[in-house]
Amino acid sequence: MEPNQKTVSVAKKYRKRSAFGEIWHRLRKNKGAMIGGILLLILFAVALTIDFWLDQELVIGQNLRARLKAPSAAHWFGTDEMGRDLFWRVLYGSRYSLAIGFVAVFVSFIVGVPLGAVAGYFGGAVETVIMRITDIFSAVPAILMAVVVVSVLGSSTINLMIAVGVSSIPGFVRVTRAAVLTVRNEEYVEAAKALGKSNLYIIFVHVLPNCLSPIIVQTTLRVASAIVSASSLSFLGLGIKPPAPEWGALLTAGRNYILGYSYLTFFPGLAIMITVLAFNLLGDGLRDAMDPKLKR
Amino acid sequence: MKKWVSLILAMMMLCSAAAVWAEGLTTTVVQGAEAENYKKQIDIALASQITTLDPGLVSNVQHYYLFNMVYDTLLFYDNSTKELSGKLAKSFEWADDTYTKIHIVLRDDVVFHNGEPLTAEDIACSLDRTTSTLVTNSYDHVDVLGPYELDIVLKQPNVDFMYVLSHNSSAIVSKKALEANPDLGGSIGTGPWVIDMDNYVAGDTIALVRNDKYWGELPKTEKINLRLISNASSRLVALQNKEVVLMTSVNPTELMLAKMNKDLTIYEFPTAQMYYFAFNNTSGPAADNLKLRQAVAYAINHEDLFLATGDEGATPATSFWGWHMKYYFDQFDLDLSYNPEKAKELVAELGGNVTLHLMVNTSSSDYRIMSEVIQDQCRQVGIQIIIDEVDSAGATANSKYASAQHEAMLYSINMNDWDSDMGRLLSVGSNTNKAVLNNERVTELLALGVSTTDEAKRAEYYKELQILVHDNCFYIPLYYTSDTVAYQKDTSGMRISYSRDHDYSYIAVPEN
Amino acid sequence: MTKYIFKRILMLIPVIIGVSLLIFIMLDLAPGTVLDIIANDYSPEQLEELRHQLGYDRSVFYRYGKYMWDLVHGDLGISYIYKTPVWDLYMQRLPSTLKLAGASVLVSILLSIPLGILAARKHGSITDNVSMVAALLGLSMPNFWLGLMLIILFSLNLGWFPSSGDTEGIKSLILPAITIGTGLMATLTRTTRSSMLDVIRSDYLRTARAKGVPEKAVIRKHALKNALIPIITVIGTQMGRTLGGSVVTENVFSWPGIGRLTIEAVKQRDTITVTGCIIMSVIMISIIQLIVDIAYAFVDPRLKSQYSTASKRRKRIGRTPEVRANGT
Repeated sequence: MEPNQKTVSVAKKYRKRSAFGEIWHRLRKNKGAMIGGILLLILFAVALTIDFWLDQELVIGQNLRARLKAPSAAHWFGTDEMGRDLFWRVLYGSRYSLAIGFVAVFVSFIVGVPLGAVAGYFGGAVETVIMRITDIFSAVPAILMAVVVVSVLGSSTINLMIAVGVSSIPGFVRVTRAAVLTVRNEEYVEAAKALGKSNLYIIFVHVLPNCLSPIIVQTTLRVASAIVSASSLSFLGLGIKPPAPEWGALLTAGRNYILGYSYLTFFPGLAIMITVLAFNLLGDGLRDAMDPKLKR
Repeated sequence: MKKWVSLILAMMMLCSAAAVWAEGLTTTVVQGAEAENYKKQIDIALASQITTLDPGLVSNVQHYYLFNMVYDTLLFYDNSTKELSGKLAKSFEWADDTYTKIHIVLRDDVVFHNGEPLTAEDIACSLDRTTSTLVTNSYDHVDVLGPYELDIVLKQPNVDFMYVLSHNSSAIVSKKALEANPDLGGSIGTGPWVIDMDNYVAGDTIALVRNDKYWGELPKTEKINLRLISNASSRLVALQNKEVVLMTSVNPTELMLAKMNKDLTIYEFPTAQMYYFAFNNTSGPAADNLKLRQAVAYAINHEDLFLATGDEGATPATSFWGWHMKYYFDQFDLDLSYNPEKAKELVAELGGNVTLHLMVNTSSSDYRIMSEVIQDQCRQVGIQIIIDEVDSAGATANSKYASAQHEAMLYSINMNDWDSDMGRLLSVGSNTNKAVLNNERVTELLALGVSTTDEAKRAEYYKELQILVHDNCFYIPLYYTSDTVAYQKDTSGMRISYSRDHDYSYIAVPEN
Repeated sequence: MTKYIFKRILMLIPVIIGVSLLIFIMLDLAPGTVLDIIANDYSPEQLEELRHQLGYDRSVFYRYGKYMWDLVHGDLGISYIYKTPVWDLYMQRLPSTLKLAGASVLVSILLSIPLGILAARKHGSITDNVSMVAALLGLSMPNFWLGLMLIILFSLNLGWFPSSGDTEGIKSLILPAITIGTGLMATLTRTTRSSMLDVIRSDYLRTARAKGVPEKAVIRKHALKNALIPIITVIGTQMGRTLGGSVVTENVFSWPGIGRLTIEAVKQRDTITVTGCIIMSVIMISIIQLIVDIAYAFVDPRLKSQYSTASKRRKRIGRTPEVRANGT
């Protein structure tokens, strides 16, 4: 784009905004990210409130005489092999899938970010040790790592979250370390050191806040892949406890009926896809908004 | 939508494919018209993994498909006529009437796949090394009397041991091959099919080629691949798509759809497999708590279970015993069938608030489905069931007799024809004893049953045993399953049995 | 060059030692051992003997030490479950795994590079947005779901392709390759798009256009070639990842791949097989990485001279683009 009068004035306007205002402004212009964001808001609203307006009985109560009914006005997504309404189950399942996505990422965040920060900040032997261990963990394919963790801990919702979380720790360590490397020699860090602040203080107060953007992007995208990973684990038979209608578990149950009742796989799969797409769109939008160099 | 359904139904009537329903427990060899040429190579879909080629190391139904084709046993038990006949043995008889010694004369024209002739030494070697408790519980040693003559000596009387000799866990392997290669030597047998090691993908595909030097009748097919397709729906897709000629265990829910396919024959039959619910009777809340066990028994509606798994040919079970066994008994005075009111009463007597952990092996979707149904049924009478999902290793490890940790579990058993086989599920120390049962009278009755020659007395012992297990609810028998074999029309030669260890050795598909 | 390869091999050693220790310890913590699987029917005496023979009567570190000792001698051990050397198990499944990895990366290349170029050329337009969403869609679909849908459509209804196994050559390969390939698309499309954007605005392209080279030729001859390095990096990473096996897709298509072997081995607590497979895939990934590095030199002759100082070269190429994991 040729620089002209208009862009220059827009650029001036930009300067008045705070860093976050700036990001928000750019994000708002990204249609994909906004669609993703709105979708997620709706999903969150449903997941957080569903317990108040939906009778549990509808979700877990079985009616074996009405099993495997095709989608109709009464049952929008049909009924499953136990005669439960699939629409309500999918809707209720949003709770589990979102929770798994977030908690799993929280697990890897809480472990990965400090490790990455320490590695990037101190360098030297500390860095070597942390990064070599990270290498070892990432040499094991993520899904396999998750399966091993579930085998060790046994399968439950919490353990599934931990398993998915553990397998994405290396990603957080790498991203954080790379981000920290770019700021650790900045003047304000040097200044803080000169003032005799403790290393821990510097890392948390000066370094990390200045490398938030890649970490936020990483977090958003990881939530997306955590949801997919969790459903893959369910698919491999290591999911969460019944009768919880987690989407991967719904899909897996439906897999046994693909010949005649493919809607049992179709709808939960669609739910996963839309949710994950929303996270990915938002994540990509955030990346573009936070790092304009990439977008161009 | 209704239109759709009626259209499907109409179509079904028009082109109803060959669907066969076997009445009662039967075994059939599928007959086909003679053809000029047969397909040289065919693929068969397996439902579960075959991990080991060696019959001495593992015994379960999926391995029997392979063992039936590659190995021979001393005796052959025809479960349709209930008669034993010689296979590798030319003659066989009890040496005396204490049921501790069997005298056997071998055929002298049998050669192993590696070219070595079969001798009495191979029999001794095979029986010495087999790991199955079916054999090791009774077997002591072999006295080799000549190259083709031997005595099998037992530790204690076992009236059923000849059946054991017809079982795949006493299949005969080559001693010389084992000496040459201890790891893989156990894969050399005398059967009509030879394992093609060059095309073997462990745990996925077993390639077989015809044994042209077989002592018996030669198969018409030259090559067979046994391929693992573990998901039932995927298996049916592969069959419909003509990727395989035969599969077992059509997903019951998809049976109707399979029957609509004109190119397929669906053979349905009741089986000798039983699903059961086992309490841990040694530790945990169910041990020494008859009321809890009975409350769960009253809470379970057996019909709902197979309605949910879709197994329409299932038969509800009342006695924890094989319904095909000689001494089966089910005329109990105590009625433990579905009765939620009684269950609620018992729960109230227990002070309400009853919780039980149920361990479920997720390798089979049936367990998963049944556990959810039981969970829901128990919820209605006030028993909270917490489902603990584990994989196969976890299930086996947590339910080992010596260190069982489960409170209750869902499982199944393929029962052999002879009554003493129930010993696996009831005897102290057996890892198949998922109820972790250690009951003196049960142990006593088992010992009496297997060694008593008087049939009337044996019947009395086994009856008492069944009443004991039933009234005490150590186990809750759920139902006897039905199963299916589906194959491309015109396929013939396979022996389909209620014991589910079908023999595909002589499978043939006409070339057209 | 030789020195560089040697250094690479040297770097592998700590990873192999660490990974195998990790797997040994974790599988030791899991309930049950391989003995429970193979010895369900064994008598107590036989079991005791086997326990001793396999070292399960001693600590995990003893078994690990024994394993490493064999490994140093080039022996990956014998699987307890299959009673077959792990090397043979791996080799039995390698051809199918290689085929599938290659084909899926090919699918991803065939879809992503044109899409990425298109997005870059129509930068900021609807086409750009749609292409990027399309690429993200592949990443957002659970792999097995797409696989099942493809089976329903192409095997069940149309009967074009087989639904299971690796028995009919290319025909067997198509559906699983599409399933994995679309999952890989997002990263590759994005990388192609951004590196094309970089190049399209560079001076030498402006020069080429000014010289009157037609737009198509500009893209093909000049832009793409210069944008290749990050693209190759991504392709290399993805190839390495898929070589470790794509458990879920292999599961859907009953594909005789390494992923399924490894997962089954985990479920059966067959520590030796799990470790062996992971060590082999670490080595394979490293080989792919080496090939990628050599490919750089072909694409960019400037790099060829720098093989003696590998570290400098890496700094110059910069960070490898982030590759997202999904549930393959």
